[in-house]
Amino acid sequence: MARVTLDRLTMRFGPVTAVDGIDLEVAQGEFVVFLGPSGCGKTTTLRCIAGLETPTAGRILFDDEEVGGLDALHRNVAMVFQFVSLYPHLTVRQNIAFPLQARGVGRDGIRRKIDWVTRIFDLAGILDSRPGGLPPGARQKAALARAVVREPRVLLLDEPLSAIDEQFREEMRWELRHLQKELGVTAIYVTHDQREAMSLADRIVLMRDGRIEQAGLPADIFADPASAFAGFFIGSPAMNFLPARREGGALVLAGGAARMALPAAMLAACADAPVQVGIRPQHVAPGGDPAAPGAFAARIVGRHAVARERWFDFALGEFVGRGAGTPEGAGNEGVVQFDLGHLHLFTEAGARLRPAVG
Amino acid sequence: MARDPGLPPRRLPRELSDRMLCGLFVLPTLGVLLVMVAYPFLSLLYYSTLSFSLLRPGQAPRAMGFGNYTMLLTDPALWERFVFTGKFVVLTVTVQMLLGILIAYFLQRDFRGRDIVFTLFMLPMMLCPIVVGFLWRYMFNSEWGIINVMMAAAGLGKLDWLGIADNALVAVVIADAWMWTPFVILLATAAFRGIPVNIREAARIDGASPAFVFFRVTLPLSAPILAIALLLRLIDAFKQYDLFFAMTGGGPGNETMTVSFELGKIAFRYFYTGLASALAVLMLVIIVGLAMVFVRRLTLAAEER
Repeated sequence: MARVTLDRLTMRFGPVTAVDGIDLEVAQGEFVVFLGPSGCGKTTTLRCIAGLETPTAGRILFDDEEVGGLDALHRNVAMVFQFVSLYPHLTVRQNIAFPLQARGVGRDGIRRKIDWVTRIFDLAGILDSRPGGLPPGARQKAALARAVVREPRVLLLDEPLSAIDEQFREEMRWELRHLQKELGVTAIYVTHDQREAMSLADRIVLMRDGRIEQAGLPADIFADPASAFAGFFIGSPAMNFLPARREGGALVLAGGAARMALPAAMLAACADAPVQVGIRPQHVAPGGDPAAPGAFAARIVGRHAVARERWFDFALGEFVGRGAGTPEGAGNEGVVQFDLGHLHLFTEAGARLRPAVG
Repeated sequence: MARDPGLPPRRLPRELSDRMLCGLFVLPTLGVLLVMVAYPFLSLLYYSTLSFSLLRPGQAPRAMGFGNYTMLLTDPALWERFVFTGKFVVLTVTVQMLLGILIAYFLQRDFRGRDIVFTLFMLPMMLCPIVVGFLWRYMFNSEWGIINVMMAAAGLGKLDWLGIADNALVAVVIADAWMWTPFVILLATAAFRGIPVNIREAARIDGASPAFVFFRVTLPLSAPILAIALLLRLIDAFKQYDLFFAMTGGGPGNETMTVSFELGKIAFRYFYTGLASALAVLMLVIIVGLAMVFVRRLTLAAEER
């Protein structure tokens, strides 16, 4: 159980920079999720921490010991892979014993350890099966058991649940989260699934193009995205981004399709360049007074029901956005109200514009 | 096509079922196999019960029952040939398998020019066996062969490689291993490459040293393919003829004659066709038996997975 420090970690493959000078500290016992689209460098970072890749530059420390020069073999990390990596010729029991045997743990020690993880992971029924005959969920459980049995300094997980059925995955997530806290192991988890990240992480590290876009508590990133990318990548359905321009005391939306009044502090943040108004569908409501701050008239072009959730689509010129709730009547004309407390302004390039605190 | 529903159902097309169609498609191959394999095999079995010679077609064949077999199996000289062949097979296959797996192991890592080295390693296998035999025969020549010249230069003294039975066995094992180790390298390389990267990485992370990974992961997972390599090498070594023919001619005396060599002699020097057929059947039984053991084990291993 170690604290993990990345110091300007850089990884290049030929001309491609996969990880671009990352600084990060993961506290002992913390559950950190690396989140990002494919190709953002999250898996490469994980493989550097594991010792499967040798970083081009930068340092990796476990507690205060530099491990950058150590091969995976000597780091005492554990890793669970996306695809099954159990040894197919060994039973689950032999698989779990493998890392212990590799370290020269004695027979009695191995038996005690196996009893211990069998109890935690509830593996009694499959100990003597080979992985090939097991369902994906049971296989990943066995892989997790093999990972934690040696009490690693860091537990690394590379999209371990992506091969598992949706329903079972939810359950596995809860279990994983619970286990990690119980064992107190430092865990780093890689995924591109923001819902997975939101439900597992103590802290999310959102990555993009080999850099950290934003790191923080899941709720903080959701409520206060550092950039348009962070706003877009986290939350479901995705955040709306309306092109806008300041004109006098209001914002002109979607190339002149509507005008929206805004508080002066927010308007001041916009300066005179074109901006993007970012707002989550959860914070867009139908109806109200079109002249009120944050409100405007729009066409209602769609209504959806997903289980007990109600969503609607509104259109402004070319732009189509999404809101929560059921617009009154069945007609096309309507009013859309943005919740100003959750409205974010971004530059066209995606940088956050913050109103001066007053 | 519309048909009058009053007509009785047509018979012919119905009876040309999928199974019949399959049969029709298989028929030509089956015919070729019958002519090329089944007929020779059955006639071999038949000849093995006769006393007759291809050279004397006028002389009526005489039925012997199992006479040829008893004659062969009670001949101590032939048993000696089997023992010698066994020694050769065990030695050469052991050397080939160990060397082949070792070289394949080191060829796994990436280094500059690996592909060229690999291709060079494959070359001996592509040569004609009789050519390989003569090459090594000259290299093992006791007076001016390069091996003795080098040994003399190294102060080891010259060895009579091909004139003494035990030395000749070693010499032929060296030549055979030189020629056929590449085959084991080829299959072992394929087997090693077939092991998923995930599994190798998992083993590294599990803290397994390279030796531990090799014996506990790589070898067991390659076992099915290595078993096939072993079987093919066993069968081939058991049939070895050319190298002995070229290098020792079976000598000194007939001490380095393998069973196939002996078979060739009986069949095509003395033309005891009946006796030769019986020996061929015996060899076939041994080879098929060997193959069956392996196929059994492979199927069992596959079912366990």
